[in-house]
Amino acid sequence: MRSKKLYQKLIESCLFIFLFNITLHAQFTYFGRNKVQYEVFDWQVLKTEHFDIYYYPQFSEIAEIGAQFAEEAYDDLKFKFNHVVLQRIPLIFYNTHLHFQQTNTVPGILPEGVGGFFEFMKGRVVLPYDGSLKQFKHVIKHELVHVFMTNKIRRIQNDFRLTSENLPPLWFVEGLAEFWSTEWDDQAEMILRDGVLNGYIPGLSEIDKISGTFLMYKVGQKILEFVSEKYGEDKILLLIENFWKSSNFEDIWKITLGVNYSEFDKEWKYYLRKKYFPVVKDEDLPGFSAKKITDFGFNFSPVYYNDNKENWIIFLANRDGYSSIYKIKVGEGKTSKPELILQGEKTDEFESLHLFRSSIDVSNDGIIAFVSKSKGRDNINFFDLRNNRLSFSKSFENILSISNPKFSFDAQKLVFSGIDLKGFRDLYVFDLIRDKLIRLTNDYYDDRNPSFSPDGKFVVFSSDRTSQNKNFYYNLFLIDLHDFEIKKITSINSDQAYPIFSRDGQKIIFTSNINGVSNLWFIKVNISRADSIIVDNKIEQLTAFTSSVYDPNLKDSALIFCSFENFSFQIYEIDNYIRESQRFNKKISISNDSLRVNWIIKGIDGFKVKERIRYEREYTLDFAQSHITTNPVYGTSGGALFSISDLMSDDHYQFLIFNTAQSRDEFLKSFNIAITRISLAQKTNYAYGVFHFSGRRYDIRDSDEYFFERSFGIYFGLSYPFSFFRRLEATFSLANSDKEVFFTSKSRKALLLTNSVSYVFDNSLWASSGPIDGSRFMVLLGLTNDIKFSNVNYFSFMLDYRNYLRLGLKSAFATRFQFFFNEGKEARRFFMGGNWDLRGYPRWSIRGEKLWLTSFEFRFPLIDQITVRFPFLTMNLFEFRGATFFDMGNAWDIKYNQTLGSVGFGIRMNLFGVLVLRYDIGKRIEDGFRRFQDGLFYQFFFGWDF
Amino acid sequence: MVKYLKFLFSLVLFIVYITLFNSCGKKIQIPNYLKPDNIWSHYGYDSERRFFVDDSLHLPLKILYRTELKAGLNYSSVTTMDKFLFVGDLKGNVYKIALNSGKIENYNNFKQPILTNIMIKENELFIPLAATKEKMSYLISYDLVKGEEKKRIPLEGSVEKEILIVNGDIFLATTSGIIYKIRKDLVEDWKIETGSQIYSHPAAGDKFLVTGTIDGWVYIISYDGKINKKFKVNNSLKSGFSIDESKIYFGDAFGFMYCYDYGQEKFLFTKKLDAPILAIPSIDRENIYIGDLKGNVYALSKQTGDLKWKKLLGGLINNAILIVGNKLVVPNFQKKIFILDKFNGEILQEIELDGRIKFSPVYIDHKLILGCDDKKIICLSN
Repeated sequence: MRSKKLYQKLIESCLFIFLFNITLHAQFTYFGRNKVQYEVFDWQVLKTEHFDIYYYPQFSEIAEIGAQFAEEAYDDLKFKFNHVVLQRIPLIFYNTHLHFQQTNTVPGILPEGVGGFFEFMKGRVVLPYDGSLKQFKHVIKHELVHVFMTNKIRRIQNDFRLTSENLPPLWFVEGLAEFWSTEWDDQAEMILRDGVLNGYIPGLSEIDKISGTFLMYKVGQKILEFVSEKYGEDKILLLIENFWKSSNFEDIWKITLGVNYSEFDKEWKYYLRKKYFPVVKDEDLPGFSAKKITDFGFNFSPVYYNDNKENWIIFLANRDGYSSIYKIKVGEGKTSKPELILQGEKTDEFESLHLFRSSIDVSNDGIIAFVSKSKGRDNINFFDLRNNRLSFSKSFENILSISNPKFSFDAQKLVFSGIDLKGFRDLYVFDLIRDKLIRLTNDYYDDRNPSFSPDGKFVVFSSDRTSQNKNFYYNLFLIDLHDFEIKKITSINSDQAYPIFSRDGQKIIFTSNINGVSNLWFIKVNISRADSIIVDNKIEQLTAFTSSVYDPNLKDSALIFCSFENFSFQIYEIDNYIRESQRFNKKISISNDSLRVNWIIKGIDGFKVKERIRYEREYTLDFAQSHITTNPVYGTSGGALFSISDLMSDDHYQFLIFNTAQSRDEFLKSFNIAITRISLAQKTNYAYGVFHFSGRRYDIRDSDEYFFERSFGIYFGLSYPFSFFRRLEATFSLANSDKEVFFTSKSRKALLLTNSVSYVFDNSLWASSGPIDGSRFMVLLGLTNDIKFSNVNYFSFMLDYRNYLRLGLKSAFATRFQFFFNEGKEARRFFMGGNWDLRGYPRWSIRGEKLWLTSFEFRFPLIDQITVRFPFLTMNLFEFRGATFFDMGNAWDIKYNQTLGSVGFGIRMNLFGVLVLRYDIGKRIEDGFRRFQDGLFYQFFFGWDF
Repeated sequence: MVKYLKFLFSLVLFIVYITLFNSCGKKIQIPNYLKPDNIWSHYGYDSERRFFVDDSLHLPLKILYRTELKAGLNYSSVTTMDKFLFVGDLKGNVYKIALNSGKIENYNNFKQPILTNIMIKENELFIPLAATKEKMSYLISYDLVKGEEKKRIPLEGSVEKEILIVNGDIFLATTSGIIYKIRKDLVEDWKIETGSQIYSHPAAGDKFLVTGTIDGWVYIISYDGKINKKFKVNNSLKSGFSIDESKIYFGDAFGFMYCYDYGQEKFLFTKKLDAPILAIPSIDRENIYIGDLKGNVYALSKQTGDLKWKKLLGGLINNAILIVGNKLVVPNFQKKIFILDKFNGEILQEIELDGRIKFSPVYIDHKLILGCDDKKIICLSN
């Protein structure tokens, strides 16, 4: 009986997903955030020799350039891999990350840190553009390395008739993609230096510790660079071509390079020490030569502010899982603890504060300008520090993405970078007094980090409009706000960024990676000179840190900035930067005539274009799955589930078919089928379909009867998201149901009309075993009527509220309140019992048409890591969490009997990010809440915390 | 219950039958001793690997047959003798295929991948088995008439590149960088350890053989095992060598094409091409012909290296071009075979196939035989 029930549950679970009918599995799966389609994209297709490129018309210029990058990358990668990909490769381009996050090509929510991906099911490469052609070229090639590598390995597995579908380990996959798509840059150098100097770079034997992190990408890249230097670059391809020789990548490593992981680690770590230890001879760790203002979390964009009483630093940070704005008091050699000003990522107005992509600024009169994402586009927000409230927010019609706002010295204007519909990142000035927007640049050069001169007549910014030998370099430029003339300030074959004027306007301070990592430099200027603003054709060094510096800001002679140390971003201060610069006395000439300014890049050559057409949906298989079950009591049944969708995965068709016949004459009537269409292209997602189900059932939501039911009908569901956090859902179904109860003469016919509407809110923050901050809420109203025979007639009400009060970084106090109510004829039952709700009681053993449950739970970290070393294997298990809990509730049909409860302690362990194992020990509260049970209960199961 | 058991029993029988049927082909055998006619016993036609057949190729070519094998193929070619083709696949199957019809007459499974050419000598097959994680590499001597293994010679490393038969003796190199000579009586005569890895195809000239390592060392070794000359080029050697009189031609992974005159002990020329070279150069009376990974075909003077002409075909050319009379047969990895005029590179015919072409073409009995990565042997004829 159990296998049949479970099998039925599996099918019904799938059907639930298709139907959006939350009353079927309302108890477990109705929360979650929303991927909102704010735009309906008018997809076009550009077919080149090897690619089908999907883009929308406003983005056509950049898409054509991207097509050229893709074909160039293909030509290069076919040498590197000695392979060609015969299938046409779909590339899907979005013009900003905001649009990219709306893609349906992957089902989950895409975090801001994802710069693009290669999706295996349909072989799609999906990428956003972020205003930088250099970065676009890199990401296209990075993803194409994945395409080639996967294609080649699948070919090898096929040739050798290998049944395994292994791929190399993730560090190799991503390391190779980086190694063959980009140069070693200052960001990579910063990470490796920090890792070596602080001792956290693993060897191959322990590289799993950093799996999935950005560190892994860079360590992988560096390992392959080392292999290339020491063993020859051909060995890298040979590692792939030898892939058939073993299912264990370490064996392949040994066969190809002649060394196993431990032997390699010795060479590799020695190489790193030789390379990076000498760095500290001439350069300092930031914490050792600057004053550390923060010491925890990821902190960016510090800005000075004085409120006439005290000195503060305002900054953007993620210190607890949410990106937020903080302030910290400084002065007299002391700093206070950071205080929260505004928390992001919890409300519709501040879905994201773009921690890694933008910055904040503060005017002299205490207005913070910062960027937030809200409902599909970016806004600039103005927060009044003195009155502690949001003054107003501003968005601009044709500007999708905004970054790096900066006030003028008189706080009457704001300059920022914005990405428009074409994907161009250009500069804009917003006049706060006149409420007027002026566009300063309009081209495909990536213009960023703008800031005003003290007199407000100029804006200095960083731009990639200089190039040499097809490499783009970011240099500093000055734009005159009177006539928009752009003048070059630096012309160096390195990247210069974050320029700011000194208060007296005689210096521009900026970062430059001319020496490998980004340090602070300055250049003397005189902006009143019409002929040449540069006083001295040299840049002078201000800092010599081992790590990179970002977001500098000045107050008189004091300088604050953000830097990377010990794998976190912290804020530092130098009291007197002028005195500091005299330590170095290092100057570099800035004139480099070999750099081209205002380079021109063309899109793909006409002869390489095969066709340009409008996108039309063509459906291909997503997955197909089949089951056969056999049971000595119920016999054999079998079925299949498969899904097709279009290339954008906006439109799905799902087919479920199975048969439970036990004899030939039952065959036709035992056919179970459901066909569903799901549409995700617009903001309102909807699904509809038809079904026919027939078979023997035992349903714990019904009375304790074993019955045969035949049911067929139609259903419809829709989901309307108000924002990232909130949505409305509605369902409708009409089903004919004929039920015959076994071992009795009871039968029941009904024509069931079921409707429901629900509201869901979810802004919870998740830790390794479940939510730890925020809250979740669902309320549902439903009605089920038998419109023909009046045999069924009940209404439903469900309320589920959960709140997570953060107590510490990894601890929280969680509360849950559920009230489920079905009332009427043949009302369905709810059920509880087990680790997922009322702990201490057998799973799903308590049933009733009404149910209530309250839980209180204190969640805390228990053990960070357990390492078990066997002679042949080392196992690392991470993040054991503990909980103490108190549950109470009950379920009933007509008469409420008593309140049940339990108290106890539990341990949870997240297994590889996929499953949470849980073990609870406690005591039931019995006998009308009067006594504890004798002894203890022990329950082991899986499942996330509520 | 009875019905259920009957069904289960039938299913098991069916599975056993299919497994046995698939795993036991009839063994490779020939009814009596073959005349050594129509021999293509080497990769490259002869031990110098010139890939040159002095015959005429009539166009247009059409597909005569496609023969599907059981597993994939590596970069190699078929071997032919009399009316049969012999080829090995990556699952260790060795096939005997009728040349005229493409029908698989027999096959044997040797359970280890075969990455190179099967060699033939007087009704004896030499089957090189690559090493796997569990098994070492072997060279098998197989008696075609008796249909059985004569001897299995174990090798250190893995034999994954072409072997040579010169005057009955066998020369081969393994990926561990060991060069072997195995005498006619199937006894190891000598071996030389280079201390590196070898992923290039050796060639044999007049009393010497030449091979190269992955780190750029070239070894010229006499047949009695003496290293006569050893020199290094700057880049990795992963293609192979071809010899014309005392001149040795080879390309490296950076795209340099070399001609080393063994007699004069000096380089006659070094020429930089547009892309890395993985193919072996083909040589006729005047020129060498080579393809690169950009899909270019070059005709260079074999004396001076001067470029006679260059043709961009696209795709990848990572296996040797075949010269048949005044035509070039160019296998392009991008599923195409090109027939070019060898005097000017003009495309005379282009044929698109279903799979990427892995085999260097073999021309025998007015038939052109190739292998593709869709597990097929293709025969083209006029």
